Amino acid sequence: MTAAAKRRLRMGIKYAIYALAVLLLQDTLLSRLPIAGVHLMLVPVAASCASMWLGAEKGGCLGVAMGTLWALSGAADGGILLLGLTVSCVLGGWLCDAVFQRRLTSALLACAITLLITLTPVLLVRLYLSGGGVRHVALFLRQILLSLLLCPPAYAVGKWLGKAGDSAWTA
Amino acid sequence: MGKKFWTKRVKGILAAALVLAVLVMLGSAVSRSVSAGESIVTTLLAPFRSVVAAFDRTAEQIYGRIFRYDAAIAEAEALRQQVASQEAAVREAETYRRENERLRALLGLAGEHSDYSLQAAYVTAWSASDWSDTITVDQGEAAGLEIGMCAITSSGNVVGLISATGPNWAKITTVYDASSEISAAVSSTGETGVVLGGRGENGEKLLQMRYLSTSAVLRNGDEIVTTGSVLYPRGLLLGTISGAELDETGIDKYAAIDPGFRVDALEQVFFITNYSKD
Repeated sequence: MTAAAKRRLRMGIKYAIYALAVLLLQDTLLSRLPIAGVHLMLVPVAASCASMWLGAEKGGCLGVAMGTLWALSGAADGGILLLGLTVSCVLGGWLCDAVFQRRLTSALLACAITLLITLTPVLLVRLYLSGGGVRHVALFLRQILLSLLLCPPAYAVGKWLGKAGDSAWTA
Repeated sequence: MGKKFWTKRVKGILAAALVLAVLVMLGSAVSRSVSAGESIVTTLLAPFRSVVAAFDRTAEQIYGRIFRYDAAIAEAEALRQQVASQEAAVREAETYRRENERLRALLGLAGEHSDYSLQAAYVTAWSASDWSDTITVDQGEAAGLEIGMCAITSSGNVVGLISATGPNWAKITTVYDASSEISAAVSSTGETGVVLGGRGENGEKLLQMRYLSTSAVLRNGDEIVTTGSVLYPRGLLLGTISGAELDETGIDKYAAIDPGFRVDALEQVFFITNYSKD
């Protein structure tokens, strides 16, 4: 195995551990303790923050991997979440490559886009299936705004992973 | 705008995600409970979830010891007074208990629910969705758990039904889930209705007994119990009435129910693996 392949393998393991840790935090702590009546969504925020350092293609791969893991771990509406997460990771990665600088403000915007892309189809499906209305939309917006509170720590971890991975992925 | 967005790789990734999403949706639509992929991933995740949930519980206990000490002291004092005031009631209850035992013996009845076979399990994960209410536990098919088995708390309150299982895990759809509908009765009056789960305007979890007649007599504190069905044994406690009103049609009454437990505070649940259906 070449040195470059070893570095790539090491990075793959790092991101796998990251995805696992994020999923476990989502499943246990954040899902157990709703804030203001809603559950904070760490998985989309963490995927978005990581993909902004990886770019559109590798970010998209991370989105597919995290989305698949999330969907197969028993998340409700897993298929929709998987697709939304991938699209938003690709978009977030591309935006940070081509348009924005990699800063916390860009991360907040990328996370907001990711949460909207990921959760809006779920909201629409649920509204279609079970009715609801303004109060569901209000809860949805509250969930997105409160989930953005997770962005700064996720941004810091994503930055650390991205910087640590620069040499490996580009090798 | 230097970089192109629609590269071949991006198209490939999006196509792969679309295929996977369709497979996931088809898998959950076709299979009775969970798809093979979901079963494998959840089985592999189960030990990790158990460890994290155990850490979470320990951290909460430590937090409680450090920051809730004063509250615990005050609570202990209040409980001491409560115990003192209830001693007389206990003595009276003891008299009734003995009488009850005699009557039971007279009727040839065994102790309440002695026919239940129970399996304990620890809660390891909670649903992140605000649209559904499920929890995952650390016991599964290896411990004899099956889809449709009823979960209760240590005090006998109904938690929900198993909706999916794997070798070392089981998912419970709780009574708060919008899909939950349980035939129930007010134990004191015999009024029957259906207990439904759902969410309130602020996202708070709600449990309501619906389809009660307008003439139904409902008192706060009255117990709501299951009437018995294929899934739920008869006489299981669903909670106590905490309020009652006419529903939006004005034809029926509904009662708000306090189930006697908080899903986010559940540590351990018990499954009724077998019971007499007589």
